[in-house]
Amino acid sequence: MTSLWMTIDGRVLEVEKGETVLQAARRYGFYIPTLCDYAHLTPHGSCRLCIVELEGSPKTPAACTTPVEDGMIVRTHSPRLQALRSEILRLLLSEHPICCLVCPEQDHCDECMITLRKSGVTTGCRSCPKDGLCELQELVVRIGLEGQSPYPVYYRGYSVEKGDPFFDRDYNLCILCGRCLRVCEELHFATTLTYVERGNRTMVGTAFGRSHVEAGCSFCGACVEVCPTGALVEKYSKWDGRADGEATSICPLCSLNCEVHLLTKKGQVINSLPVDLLGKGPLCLAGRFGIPELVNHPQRLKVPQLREGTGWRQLTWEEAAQILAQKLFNCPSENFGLLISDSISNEDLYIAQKFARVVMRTHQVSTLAAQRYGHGFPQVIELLKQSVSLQALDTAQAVLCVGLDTRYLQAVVETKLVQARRRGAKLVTLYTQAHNLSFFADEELLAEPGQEAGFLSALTHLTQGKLPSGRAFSKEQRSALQRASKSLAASPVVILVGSAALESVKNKTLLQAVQALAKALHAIVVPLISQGNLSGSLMMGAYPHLLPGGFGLDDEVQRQKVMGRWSTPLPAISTDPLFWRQGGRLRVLMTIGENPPKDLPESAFVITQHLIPPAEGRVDLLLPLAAFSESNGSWIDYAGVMHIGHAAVPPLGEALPAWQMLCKVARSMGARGFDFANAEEIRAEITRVVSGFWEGATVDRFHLAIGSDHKLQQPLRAADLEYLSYPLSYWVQGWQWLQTQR
Amino acid sequence: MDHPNVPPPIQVDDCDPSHLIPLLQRIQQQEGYISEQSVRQIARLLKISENHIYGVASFYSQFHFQKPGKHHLKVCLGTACHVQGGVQLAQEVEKQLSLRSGETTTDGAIDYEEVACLGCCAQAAVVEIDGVIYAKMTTDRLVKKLNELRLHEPLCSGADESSLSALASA
Repeated sequence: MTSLWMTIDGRVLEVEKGETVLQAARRYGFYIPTLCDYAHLTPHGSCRLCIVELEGSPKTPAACTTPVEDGMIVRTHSPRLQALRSEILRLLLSEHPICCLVCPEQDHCDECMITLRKSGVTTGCRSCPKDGLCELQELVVRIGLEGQSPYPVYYRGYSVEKGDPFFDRDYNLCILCGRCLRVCEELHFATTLTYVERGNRTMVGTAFGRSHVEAGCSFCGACVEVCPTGALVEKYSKWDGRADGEATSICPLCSLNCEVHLLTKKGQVINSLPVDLLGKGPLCLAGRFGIPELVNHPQRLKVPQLREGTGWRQLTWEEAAQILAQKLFNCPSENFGLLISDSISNEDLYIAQKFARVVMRTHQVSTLAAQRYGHGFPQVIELLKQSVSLQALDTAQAVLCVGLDTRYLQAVVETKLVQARRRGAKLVTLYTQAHNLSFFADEELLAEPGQEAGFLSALTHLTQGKLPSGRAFSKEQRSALQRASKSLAASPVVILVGSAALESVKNKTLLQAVQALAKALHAIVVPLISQGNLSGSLMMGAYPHLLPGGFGLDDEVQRQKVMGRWSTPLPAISTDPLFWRQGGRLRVLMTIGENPPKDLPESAFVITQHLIPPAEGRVDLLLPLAAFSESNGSWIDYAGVMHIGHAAVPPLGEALPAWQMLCKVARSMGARGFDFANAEEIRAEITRVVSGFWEGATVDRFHLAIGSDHKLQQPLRAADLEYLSYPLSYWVQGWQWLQTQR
Repeated sequence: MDHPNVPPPIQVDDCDPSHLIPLLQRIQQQEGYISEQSVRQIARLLKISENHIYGVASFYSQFHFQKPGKHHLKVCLGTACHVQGGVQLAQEVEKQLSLRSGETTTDGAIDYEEVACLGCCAQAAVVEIDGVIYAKMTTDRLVKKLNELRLHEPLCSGADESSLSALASA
């Protein structure tokens, strides 16, 4: 970088060539007011508030679009600039409701919040949901409006757009700063927002006035986050005002485990934002809008309850632990089973398998992953072993997306693909239908359901230069395959495998074909698993055939290590990976974050710890589970990297994390080795049992895949993302509505 | 899927977004308006979003998004016409046809547009119907013309008017 010298407000400063005056001024701590500027977005120069005086020039250019020059002399504040800025604000306000600035009750607004909130919700009297958070309001207070405004108030009279899920749009409050449409363009292939019309009729909108759903919006919420006024606001937290707390946690809704910045108010999560919108990328609708709805679900359990006849009796945790201890004490080890969700934290998974093995002396602990992935489960594990971070896309020259639709869920991946494609990487998609990526891909391969593997092996053959004859491809398909193969000839190649491929009925052959192609292309394969902590459940050994560390039960070294650490012998080898399906044998079944299976015998005692009461299946003892936002924990993502989540709020009612519940029960049964005070202590023990746990990268550490010879069920077809045994649409109303629109 | 009326792309082998405006112009010329279907086709061709295309097209007043009517009606609201009662003419159109600028009657007979200047200020107030300029227009004469249009009767143009249209096209 070449250094230049310039003067800002009398100070001689060293600046870098290529910087703008605004960037240089900010770097040295000068304050210049801005509205349309937003970190890392291309300068726009539309609000004109950052105007500065240049020595030797009669004009007042915008600092955000003026590059620095050697010897430049800039003034950021002067009576003339003050008057101009004040005038600009007045012009903006002539089209913007100003109750929040001129209301005589303004000073009492905060103390009377409760009454005002009520009327705000019902009548909209509290002028604006962004009151106190609005950048325009803040600037008016900071810059000030001198004298009376000579401009008549012009009310644009747009009706508030409430037809789409997740956020409302009131373009009467819009100041046309263009942040929303610039951020949309930055992050997505298809821009949803644009300026329509021109002159004083300009507004932000979509083609032909379509709804956001029709216009291709992915509801990543980036536009809502960058909006400086109340024009775009989340429906869920619209009238919640300023947050009083925050915490960084991770989103457990899929294996990407994106970091989320949770905003809280009065012990409740009110909003969830990406940690660094333009750096690390946005969230998808699940993490951005789903989390507050999910953790504040109206059916959340608050106290332990025992079934008595047709009703429920509320219990204290002590009573519940005693009942549990008694039931479990009398239960032979082969008649006990524990089902745990694969979206739950490592600590919970680790304690769950330790509980089953040490206290109940059985290996009958599992998630439902084996059932979900069916015959293809070994291949899924195989892919997870080799998987790397999506950062691989930063250097990829070609990307192949197999069964990946990033329109709504995992929309985060689209942003990375946009960046790769802008860099010149080729994009090839293979899917059974047209989807959001196919439009912008260099080559789109459309396969009939079940034919994807055929396409992949054709691509593998093409790496040797020839498409085998006699295959069932049409002329168009053959030439599309040829072109796709040409696009994939660049190196390095990254293959992204989406949930539609991973959870398809023929996933075994499909994933084998992916691996064969990856081998031929020397490509990196990244499986975008939808379960939040499948890697973690494998690493923690929460399966009948796996020990902590992902080792097989027959791995003598790890066996000795685990037994030494737990100071107890491990139970004899169990062989049934689907123990919960063996009907009459189970006498006590404990499910954590999972609904109990429907076909359990009447005599079985079923304990369920969950956020909400199970919609199906019989439960005898119902325990409240703390949500991920209410406890510390760690998760392992699709690439084997560990992420730590911090509690944002205390648990609801008497809810407890699973590990606390299990430790409580274990202690009341007299078991040793369950005296953990917090999640950090459990992580310390895991580190001693699972070598390399802290380093995070676990690429080659699943030492055993569950053998492919087991008679697994046909997998269910993936229709939706699932969290704690419910589809996401059960938790998130807006998503449910979107599902009906498809 | 293919729309028969969309002109062949200017260049098929590169999807350069800078072809957007020439493409829009050709479509506007050939079809008289930019339909949702043409926007979708351009989006596919240039790999840019339909919203983006609409944003660009709606900026320019030369592009229309509604199918034009059989007859085209323009009322001038330029300075001279304004002084000579152009606003009253515009109001009369709104009253008679229940149309606002940029709209087309539901039966597709007439589309209506308010324009800034038709270039014959000496003859204010002027109205243009199907490319023919009608000079020194009054509301009464306008109502008469509109009735003729609505009856789909051929328009008889007077000597002064045809000479004016020749002037306008010159």
